[in-house]
Amino acid sequence: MKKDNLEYLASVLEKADTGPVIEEKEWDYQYIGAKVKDLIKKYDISWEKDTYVPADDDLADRLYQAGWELALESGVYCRNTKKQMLWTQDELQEVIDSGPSELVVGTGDDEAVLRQRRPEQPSRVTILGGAYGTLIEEELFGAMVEAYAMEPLIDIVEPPSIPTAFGRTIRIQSPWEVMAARRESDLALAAITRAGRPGMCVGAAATSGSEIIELAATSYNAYRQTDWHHTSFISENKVSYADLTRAAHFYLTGSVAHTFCDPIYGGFLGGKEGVAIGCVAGPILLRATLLGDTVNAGPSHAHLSCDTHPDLLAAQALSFQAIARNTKLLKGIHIRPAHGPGTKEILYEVAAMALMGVSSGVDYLKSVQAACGVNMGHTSPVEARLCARVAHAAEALSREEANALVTQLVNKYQALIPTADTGIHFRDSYNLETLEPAPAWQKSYEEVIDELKEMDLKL
Amino acid sequence: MNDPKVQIDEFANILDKAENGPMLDINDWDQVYIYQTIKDLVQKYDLKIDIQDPGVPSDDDMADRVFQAAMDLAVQSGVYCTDTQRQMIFTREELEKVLARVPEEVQIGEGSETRVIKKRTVDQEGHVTIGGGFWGVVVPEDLLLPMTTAYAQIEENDFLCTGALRTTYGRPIRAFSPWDTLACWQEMRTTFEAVERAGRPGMTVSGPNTSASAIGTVTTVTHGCVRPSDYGSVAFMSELKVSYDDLIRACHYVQTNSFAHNFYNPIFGGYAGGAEGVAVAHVAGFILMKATLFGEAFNAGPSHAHMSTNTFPPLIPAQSLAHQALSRNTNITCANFTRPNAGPGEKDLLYEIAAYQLALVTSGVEIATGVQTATGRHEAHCSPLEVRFLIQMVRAAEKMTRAEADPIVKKLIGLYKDGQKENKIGKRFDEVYDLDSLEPTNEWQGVVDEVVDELEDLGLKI
Repeated sequence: MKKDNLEYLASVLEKADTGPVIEEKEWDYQYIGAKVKDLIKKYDISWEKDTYVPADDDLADRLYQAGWELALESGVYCRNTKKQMLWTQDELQEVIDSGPSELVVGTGDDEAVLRQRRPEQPSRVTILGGAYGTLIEEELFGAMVEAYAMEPLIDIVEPPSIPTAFGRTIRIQSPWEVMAARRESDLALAAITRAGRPGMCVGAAATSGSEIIELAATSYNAYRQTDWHHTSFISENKVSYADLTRAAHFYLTGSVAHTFCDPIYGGFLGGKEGVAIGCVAGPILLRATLLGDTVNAGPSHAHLSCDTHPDLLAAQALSFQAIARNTKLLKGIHIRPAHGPGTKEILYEVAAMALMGVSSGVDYLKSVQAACGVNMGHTSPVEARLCARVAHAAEALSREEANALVTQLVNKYQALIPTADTGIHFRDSYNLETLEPAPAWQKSYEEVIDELKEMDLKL
Repeated sequence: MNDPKVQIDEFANILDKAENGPMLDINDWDQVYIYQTIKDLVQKYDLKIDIQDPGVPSDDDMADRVFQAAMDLAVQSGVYCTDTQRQMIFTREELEKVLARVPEEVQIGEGSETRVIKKRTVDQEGHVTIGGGFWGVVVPEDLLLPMTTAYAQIEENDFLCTGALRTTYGRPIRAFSPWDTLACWQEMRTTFEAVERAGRPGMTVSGPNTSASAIGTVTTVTHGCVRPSDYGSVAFMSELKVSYDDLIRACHYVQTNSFAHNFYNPIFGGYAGGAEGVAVAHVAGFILMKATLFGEAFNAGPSHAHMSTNTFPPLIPAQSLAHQALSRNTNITCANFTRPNAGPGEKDLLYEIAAYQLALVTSGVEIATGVQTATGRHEAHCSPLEVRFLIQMVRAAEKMTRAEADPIVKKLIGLYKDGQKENKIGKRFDEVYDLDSLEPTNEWQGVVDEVVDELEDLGLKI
C-alpha cells in the first residue's frame, strides 16, 4: 500500500511538539467536558430513550457537524508534550477525504475487502472475529486463533493476547516485548496456516506493550503489511508518543493501519449524547492524527465497561450514520458485551449490536470482546459466528426494522448487565482436540438462532 | 542467512541473565569488576605494551596471554545490564561453546553485491572487506544524498555506512519520540536512493545512525527498508555494559534473522586503565558480545578518554595486540574502526589512517571500516577521499607482516602524534568535494597524492 505523504506525517508530529501548552485537567474539563456540553445544546443532539437505532438523518447530520466542530476546535491532546494538536478546516477535510473507501487486506485466496457502506445499504459487511484484547494462556493461544480462523464467515482474524512469552513475564519496554511480538506472530501465522487460510489478514499485534511490540511484530518473519495493524487514542482524544510512533511505522512500512478510540460514557464526555459526539470526533481525528485506513470508536461504560448498555446503542448507531452519511471513512463497530461464553445473554448482546451497526451503515464488525475482555480465556468463536450470521442477515434491514429487533433483544439482557455472568473459559466452551464448541454451548447457540428466527430475522 | 542466528531458547536464557543475575551497584561494577579485575589480570598475565615507542607488536605469546586474560575477565565479571542493575554471568564452558561454533566465514549483501568474508590471521595475505562510509557523522539533510552517493560510488567499497541526520523534514529530531521513526526512515530511504544512483542497488548498507533509541533499529529493520542481509549495529556500553535498548536491538536482529555487527569502545584512561587494560577489555568485549548480542561481525573502537580518537599512539599497539589475540584464538570476524583525530584536507588524517590500517590489517582483521573522520564529532567533516586512501592502505597492508609494518607505523605515528593536541578538524565535505561531480577538489586530491608519495618513500608498496 503506497503511503508517501511524508510532509503531512511530519506536520502531524510537529503539531504534537509545537501546539499550545495545556494542562491535562484543563483539556478534560474545558476542551472536552464543557465543549461537548455546548455542542449538544448548539446542535440539539437528543433522541427518545427507548430508540436504539434512530432513523433521523437530520439528527445524524447535526451530530456529524457537532463531531466535526469538536475535532476542529479542540483537536487532539498529546500527553507526552502537553500540547494541543490543531488542524485547520481545510487540513482536516483533506485528510478525511484522502482515506480509502475500499481496502483489500490479506493475500491471495484469503484476501478480504472492506467497502464503504451507508445506512440501510444492502451490501456485504466484513467480519472480524477474534478474542482481541483478551488474554489467553500462551499454550492455548494457537488453538484459539485456529478455532476462529476455521469459522468460514470470519474474514479477518483478531488474536487474543498472551501474558507470557516462552513462559516468561513480558516486561514493558524490555527485549521481552520483541520476544513476545515474534512469539505471538509465529503462533498466529501457524494457526491460520493450520486452518487452511495462510493469507488471511490478522489483527496485529494483539499483545499489549509499548510501541516496541508493534514495531517488532511488523517485520520480517512476523506480521505482514497486509495484516491489520493497530494504534489508538487514549480517552478522550489524547495521543501518546508511543501511538504516534506506531502510526509512523505503519505508514512508512505501507501497512494496513487500524485506529481506534474508546469514548467513555459517564466520563468527561458526559452521557449518551456526548458519547455520540465523541464517537464522531474520535474517528475524524484518528484519521487526521494516526492516518488509519480503518477507524472505530468502541465506547465504554465508565463502570460496566461494556458497549452494549442500552444508552450506548443509539449513541453508536447515530455516530455510524453520521460518519457514513458525511465521509467515506471505513468505520466499524466494536462489540464488547458484558456477558461471557456459554451464556445466552452474550448472544443477545452481540445480535443487538450487529443489527444496530449494520443497519446504521458500518463497513465491518469486530466480534467479540466477550465479557468485556477482562477475564482470561473467556471468549469463543461461537459468538463471532453468531455475529457474522446476524450481520449478514441485517444487510437487508432498514433501521426501523432493526430497531424493532434490537428492542426485543435489549429486553432480554439489559437487566442482567450489572451482574453479568462472565461465562466459561475457552478450554471449557470448546473441545481442544476438534476445536468445535462443547455440546452445551452449541445447544445454547442453536436455541438463540431459533429465537432470532422466531423474531423474523432471516438467518 | 538461512540458519537461525541462535536458537530462541538460548537467546531467552541470555535475557534471563539480565533479569535474574546478582544485583550490583554500578560503582562496584566499574571499580571492582572492571578496574580492579583488569588490573589484576594485566599483572597475572604479565602484559606489557611499549607506549614510549608504539608500533605493531609481533609477540604471539603475549597475544595469547591477552586472550587468556580476556577469557578470565569474561568469566569473572561477565556483562552488566544497566536497566536491571544485574550481573549477567557466563560460565567458561558456555563461552567456549559460543566461540566453538563461530563460523570461519560470514556473508553480507545480495546478488552481485554479495560479499563472503573469510577468516584471516596475523601476517596472512588475504582479502580484507571494506566498509567505507561516514559512520554516523552528523550531516544536514541536503548533504545526505550527495555524500552517501559519493561513498557508494567507490568501486572497492564493499559496504556502506551512512551518517546521521541533524534534522528530519526540516524539524529537530527529538530522541525517544516518533521523530526517531521518521528520521531513521528518511536516513535509510536516502541511503537506498544513493546506492541506486551509484548503480549498486544490492549494496549492503549499515544503519540507521540517526536514532538514539532502539526505536530506530526496530522501525527500520522491516518490510521495505533495511534488509536482513544488511550490516546492522548493536553495541555494548563502556565497560562491558548492556542496556535494554541494545538487547531490544539484538533481539530484533535475532527474530528477523538479520546480519548484525556488534561494537564496543573500551575507554583508554577510564576503568579499563591503559593500553594493556584496553587490549584485555577489547578481547573480552568481543567474546561477551558474541555470547550476549549474537552478532556476526565485531569491532572495538577504543576511545581516548578526552580526545575520543582511537589512533592515539598507545592505542595502536593495544588494538593490534587485541586483534592478534582474537585472530589466533577464535574464528570471530573482526573489523577495525577508523576514528582519526584530524579532518578532511589535513595530512595528519592520512597519516593516522595509514598507521592504523597497517597495524590492524597485519594483525589479522577481516574487515576494515571507516572513516569516522575528526572523531565523528563535527558536522559533515568527512569525505570519501579518505576512504579511497584507506582502501589503498588496506591493499598494501594485506601483503605485509607485522614486522614489516612496524617501522612504517612508528614513523607515521611520529608524524601525527603532536598534531593530535591541536584538533585539526579540517574542512566540511562541501568544501573538499565538488557537489556536482562528486569528486574531490584538486587541493584535497593533491594533499592525498603528496602523502601517497611520502608513504612510498617510506617503503610502502602502494
